[in-house]
Amino acid sequence: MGSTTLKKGGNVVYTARIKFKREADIRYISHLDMQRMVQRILRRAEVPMKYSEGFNPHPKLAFAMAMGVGLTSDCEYVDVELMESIDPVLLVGSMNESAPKGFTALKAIVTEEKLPSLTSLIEESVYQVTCLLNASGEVERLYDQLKSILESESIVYRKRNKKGKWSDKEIRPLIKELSANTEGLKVNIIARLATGSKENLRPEVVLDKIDPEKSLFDQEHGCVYHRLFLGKVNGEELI
Amino acid sequence: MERKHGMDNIIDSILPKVETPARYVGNEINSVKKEISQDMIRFCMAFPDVYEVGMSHLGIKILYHLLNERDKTYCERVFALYPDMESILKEKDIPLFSIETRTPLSKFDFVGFTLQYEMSYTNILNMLDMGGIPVYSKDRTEKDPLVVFGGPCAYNPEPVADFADLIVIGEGEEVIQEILDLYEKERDNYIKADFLRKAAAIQGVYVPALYEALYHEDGTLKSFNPFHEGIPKSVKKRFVKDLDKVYYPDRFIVPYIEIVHDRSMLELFRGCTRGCRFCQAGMLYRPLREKSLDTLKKNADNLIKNTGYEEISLSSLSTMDYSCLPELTDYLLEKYQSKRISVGLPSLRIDSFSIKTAEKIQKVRKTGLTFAPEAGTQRMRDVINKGVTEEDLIQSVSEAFNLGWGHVKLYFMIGLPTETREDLDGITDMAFKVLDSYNQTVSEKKNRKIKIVVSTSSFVPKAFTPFQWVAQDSVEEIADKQRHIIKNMRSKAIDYSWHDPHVSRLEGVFARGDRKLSDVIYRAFKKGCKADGWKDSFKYENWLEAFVEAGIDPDFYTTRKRGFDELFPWDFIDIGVTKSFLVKEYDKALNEELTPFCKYRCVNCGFNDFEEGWKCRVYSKDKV
Repeated sequence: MGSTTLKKGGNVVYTARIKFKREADIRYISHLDMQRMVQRILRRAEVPMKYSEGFNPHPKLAFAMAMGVGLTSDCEYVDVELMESIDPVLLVGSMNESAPKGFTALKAIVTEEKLPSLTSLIEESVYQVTCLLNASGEVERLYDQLKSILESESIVYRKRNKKGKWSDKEIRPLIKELSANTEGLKVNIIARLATGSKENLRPEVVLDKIDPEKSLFDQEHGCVYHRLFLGKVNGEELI
Repeated sequence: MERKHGMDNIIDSILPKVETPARYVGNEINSVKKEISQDMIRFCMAFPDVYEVGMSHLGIKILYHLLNERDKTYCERVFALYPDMESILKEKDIPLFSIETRTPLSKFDFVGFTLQYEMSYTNILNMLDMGGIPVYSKDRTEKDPLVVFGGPCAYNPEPVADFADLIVIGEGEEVIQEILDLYEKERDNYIKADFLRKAAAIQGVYVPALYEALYHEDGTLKSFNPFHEGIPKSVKKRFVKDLDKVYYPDRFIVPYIEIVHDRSMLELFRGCTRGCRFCQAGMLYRPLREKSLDTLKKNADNLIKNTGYEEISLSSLSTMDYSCLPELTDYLLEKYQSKRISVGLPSLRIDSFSIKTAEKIQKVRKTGLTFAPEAGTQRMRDVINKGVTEEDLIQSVSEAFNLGWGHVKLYFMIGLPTETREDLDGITDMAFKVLDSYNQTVSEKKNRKIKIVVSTSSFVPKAFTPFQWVAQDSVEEIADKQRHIIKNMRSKAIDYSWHDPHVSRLEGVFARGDRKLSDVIYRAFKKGCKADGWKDSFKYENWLEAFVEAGIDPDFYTTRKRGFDELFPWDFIDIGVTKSFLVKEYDKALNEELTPFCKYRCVNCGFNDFEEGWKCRVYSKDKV
């Protein structure tokens, strides 16, 4: 850290690192649409974005993680390159004024230092998955399942790669914490999972391990996925 | 916003299960939220195609924001559903609901459909039915919403007349307000029949139930008259006289998902003075009315500021004809180039000015160029009054190739009146001449890749055009012509695409259809026909069955040549252009004679006598 980014002609490039949350209806949009949406928020907010050179200039945005359709989150990050420095508090305020319902910028830093990329920094997520049990008598079975996962030394997840070939993946070490609390039929599962470019485990996979026969939870009702935390292993946030 | 009915939770649980749920959730930036009150008029703007198509349409953007400017009116939106969502709603018995407040369509005061395209008619029936509204106007009671149609296909409304309570003929901004004002006044003692009779007195409003169509034995129209005294015998269209004074939104809804035209749209003018004889829009949208440069600058600034879109498109029937185009593009470039906001042109006129303009504005992003020579030979282009030459085209494309373009689209029509094999071969020849011109290009900037996209649509004669009397080509004739072109259009650099002739046949039926066709549309809808404009869902066989059951021969509407003395189902509508002008233009077409643009000299189409106090502006030529 500490080196300043210089571009051709000696212009300083600034980076804004923004923490935001996503809730309500915008959870239904894809990662690509999310990128476009944030660009348009920044443009409406008249943030002096830096554009790529070349045939089809576009602003330089980098998200920490792609968010799946349906996922809400308290803790997401995006970097955007700027042509000039702006006050982070103003940045947050003007973004929120220009954002659709469901997107909230929480805080930001603006720096001329070259920051390590978000993807290289993140290590872990904490998810809350809310489901409905099929019957109240199933609470026992739920806790048994969680216990059995935590006591296993090895859990293998079979998946198909992009070429269509099946491969086995050891996921037990990626599950750092797993617990649940119930209220009637409603279940909140809390899972701390490895996240990032090196190791990554989606909460859907864990749910599949908890309820492999799809008999525990109400499938019609479905499960709601929410990210409580995204950051480093020690629970440290990125800004 | 009010979303507190029992359906809400069920809808929330459905959304994660369908593809692209963002189509149905609303709450987009610049969408309008209002507190619902008892005395509010609830209007649902319905687009009979999916969200991505409907949200790309300028007309409903304007009307949505315009109606929401009214204090006591709340205008919401609804679109046709994708099949996955439709089957879940049907399974769970949930009626089609508005995006903003998830209110079933049957609970609105008005449901307004825009008729953009003949092949969307079955979707209208499906949407009414799913919304819990009887599809035939005669089956609707005082409690049901009033169903209003408008848009370009409303100029020949007869095929869908039985489904509408009111049909708006012409531009909507003023007349829709007059309809709502009347409704507001009548509301306390509302009697549907009284309201409709009063509405029929508003210029531009057609109430189908008040008119009777009688037919000759051969199926042609014998008479078309109002049932009662005091109902106008002919319905005059509406047009906005001063586009600088009419409402234009300062913001558009910005969808979360990518839509077909994902950009701001700046409307430069209405009407077109080119007078192409196949073009219905060119006749319907007369007279030419340009917006002033000042208005457009203001509109553009607002839209760019409030949407955050990275592109603004200059949209009008023939954008390059706008008198102040250089000044406008200079303004936009100077102000927004540094912010990387690009300016888009929908299609280019075939001349050097257009290429220079495109070069200037596409500094930010260089997209493809689109040209519409429309026909392959000079003779054919003279018949349709498309005043361009092959020389113009080749000169334009070679200039474009010199400047680095490598992607060119060429639009043609086949099945035009008097067309011969030579005219078809002309299309292929032209495509290859464009390719030759690329090959001969010597320029530093020459693009290393070349792609020429040639597309032919099949000509469908339309009401209110000089070709409204001609016979349309049969499916077999069109298919034969397409095969002929495919055979000759063989090059890696050229992509050829064409239209399904079966779709064109049905379009042709409805484009010049009468009231008897309501029955066919209803039967087709009952047989599961919907989204007929989408290749995967088009069921031609079901349509043919519907025609047989209704006892109607489609060829009566398509391949039959009509006589000049025939009374047409759309003759009761007055668009301002006279029938005698259309006859004259038809004769000139057969004689391969051109009619000049009317921008600089009036060609006496009749519009100057349409309305008291209106005279078309004659522009000065040296402006361009």
